[in-house]
Amino acid sequence: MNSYKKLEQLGEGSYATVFKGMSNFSKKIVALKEIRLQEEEGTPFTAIREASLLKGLKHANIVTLHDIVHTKETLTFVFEYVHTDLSQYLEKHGGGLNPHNVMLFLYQLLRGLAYCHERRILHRDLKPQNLLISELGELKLADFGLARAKSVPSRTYSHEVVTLWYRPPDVLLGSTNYSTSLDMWGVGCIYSEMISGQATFPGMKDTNDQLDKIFRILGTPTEETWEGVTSFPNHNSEKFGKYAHKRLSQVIPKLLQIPYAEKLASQCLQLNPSKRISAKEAMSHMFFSDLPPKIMDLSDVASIFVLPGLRLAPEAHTAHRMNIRTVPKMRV
Amino acid sequence: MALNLQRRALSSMSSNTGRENVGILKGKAGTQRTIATGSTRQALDNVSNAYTTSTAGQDGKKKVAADHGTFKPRKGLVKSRATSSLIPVKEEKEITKKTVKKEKPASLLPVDISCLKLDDFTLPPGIMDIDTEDNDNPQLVSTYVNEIYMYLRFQEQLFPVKSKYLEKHTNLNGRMRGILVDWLIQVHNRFHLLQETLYLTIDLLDRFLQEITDVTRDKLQLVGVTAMLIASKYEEMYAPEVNDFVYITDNAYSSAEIRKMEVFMLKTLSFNMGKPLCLHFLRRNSKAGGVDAQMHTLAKYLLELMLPEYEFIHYNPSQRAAAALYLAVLLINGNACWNETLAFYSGYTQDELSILISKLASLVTKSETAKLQFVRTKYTSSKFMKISTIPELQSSVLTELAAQRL
Repeated sequence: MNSYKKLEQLGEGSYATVFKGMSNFSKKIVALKEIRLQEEEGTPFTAIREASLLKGLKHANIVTLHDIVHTKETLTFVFEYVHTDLSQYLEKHGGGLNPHNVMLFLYQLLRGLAYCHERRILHRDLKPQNLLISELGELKLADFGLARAKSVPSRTYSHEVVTLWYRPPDVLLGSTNYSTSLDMWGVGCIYSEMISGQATFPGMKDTNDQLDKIFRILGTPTEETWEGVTSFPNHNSEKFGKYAHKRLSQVIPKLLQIPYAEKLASQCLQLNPSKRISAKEAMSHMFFSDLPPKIMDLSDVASIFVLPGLRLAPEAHTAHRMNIRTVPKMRV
Repeated sequence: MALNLQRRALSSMSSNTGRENVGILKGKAGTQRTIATGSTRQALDNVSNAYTTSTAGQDGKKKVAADHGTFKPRKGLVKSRATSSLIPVKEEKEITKKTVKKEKPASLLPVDISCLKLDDFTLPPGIMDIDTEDNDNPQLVSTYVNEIYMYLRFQEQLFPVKSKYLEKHTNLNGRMRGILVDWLIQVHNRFHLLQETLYLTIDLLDRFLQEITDVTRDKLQLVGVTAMLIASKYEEMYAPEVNDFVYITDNAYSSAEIRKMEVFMLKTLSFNMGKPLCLHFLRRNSKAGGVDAQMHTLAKYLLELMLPEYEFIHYNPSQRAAAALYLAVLLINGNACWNETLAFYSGYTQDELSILISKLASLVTKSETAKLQFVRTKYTSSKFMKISTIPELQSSVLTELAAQRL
């Protein structure tokens, strides 16, 4: 670890601690993700998957893994340093973001995700904390510890992966046959949260509570609205309240102020995974019609901000003191 | 010696199928241990020395044989090495040359990952779209499936296994690799791991051995179980524990040794675990060919038969998958029907596969009398449709195809 100097701690996760660091050669600031090797089991599987997947992903909207340093007790991933994340950004600018910035962030999120999906990689843990935001406004997908390379078609995966607020109803109902649509539900949640400033489905207790939050807005699914829904392992018609479908704009009125915003949100937040829009399709949605057409021709590694005139707009609200924002992690 | 043990391990396993308990595991591991520990290790080392200094002549071999009690199997090992690996070497050279030429279409793809543009995939005229019915099934990701396979074919070339890489080793040869792989397939079966884990294990093993050329005989099994540990962590929902691998090698290595090897292997392979596997390609090919379960299972059997075989290591996963399906369909249907659609989705024309197919046919004709029998035994179970026992595998088509090799 002589190549990097460890500075202050940035965060702590279940299997790693993240520090700010500096390269002793280039003097560049980096993020050091220090992974504890487990006493019995050695290298955590999350670290193996994260490093392996990130090595194959070179994209402007995916965090760059510069280096891997292996010492006797620890394994350190050296990442590019990005100064904040979407969770902190949302906290700082409460009450919903500037619609122009929502468009830029969402487009970049879809761009990074489509790149992953084309390479059969599911992120599986999309949430604002895992979307890094640079000072310029570049958005980068991070934390691939729960990501999986998935074959097509494939077997089932553990459904204990996504923080509940961003977990899709099919997975909550016990489906393990998920695919790229899993991440698209998360996109819909994050997108509507950027608009409103509040989490769209903030479940507080368990899986059923999370489903209740979703059904209260989108309506309780039936065999007529979603074929096969009653066959899911966790489906329990007695426990579920009977709710009628609402338009998303009834809950998030701001969606009506932006052209096509409600349409796109509802295409992401479809209860039935087969009806959810894909990242690739969403990128050509009318919602993005104000973006310069050249944005489609950028190379993978080019930031969207290389396009002339494209920049982040000032946010209306800026809190001076950062509050601590917590998302309950309920892994059931 | 090792061969003999391997057979004993095999017979004990097959006679005990259905009674999967720790005792059997232990028993098998116990017999197996001798690959790596105790006096056998020395014996094997001696054999290998004799082989590597093969120019030193027969004396060394005979001496080794005389020094230890079990003369017969060891003689077998030496003898079969001479017959089965030395003679094909000449053919091998020509074959690889030809095949490399024919693999050209795939290598036209850019090597720099950032240059690979996957957008705007369009199906060439005359090729059937095999994904139209899947638009409602998100599991089959029809939106991305062609891009994904383009990417997989690109990616498999980033981490090639070179033919005859063991030539750089002084302690190991293809036979030993074969014995190890056969044993790893048994362990994989015992641990009830996913198919992907097996193929990844063997890939990691080969890619590691091709980089680290001073692996000694007594550490070969350590490399093998560590490859399986890493593959399990990558693929499985619940990977076996390090101690399970200590156990299966009957304490030949400590858990600390395995953890140390894990770090070394991850470093050596720079954490690149994501190489596409034969199975990924086979699934696509089977779909393009609209084949039934029997043909698909037969192709899987053929793919697995290739795993322990040193002379197949350098064929790309996509190429093996295509050849396996071609031969499976040919044997069961009497006609491979390798049309444009199959050539497109598999990435190979019939011509590009012909050498590998006849090699594979030759492998199948020898499978009944081969030294390593586990794969064949495994596929006699009804779980695998008893596919290794079907009469089609006795067909004269096979012998004719195998003869084309010469």
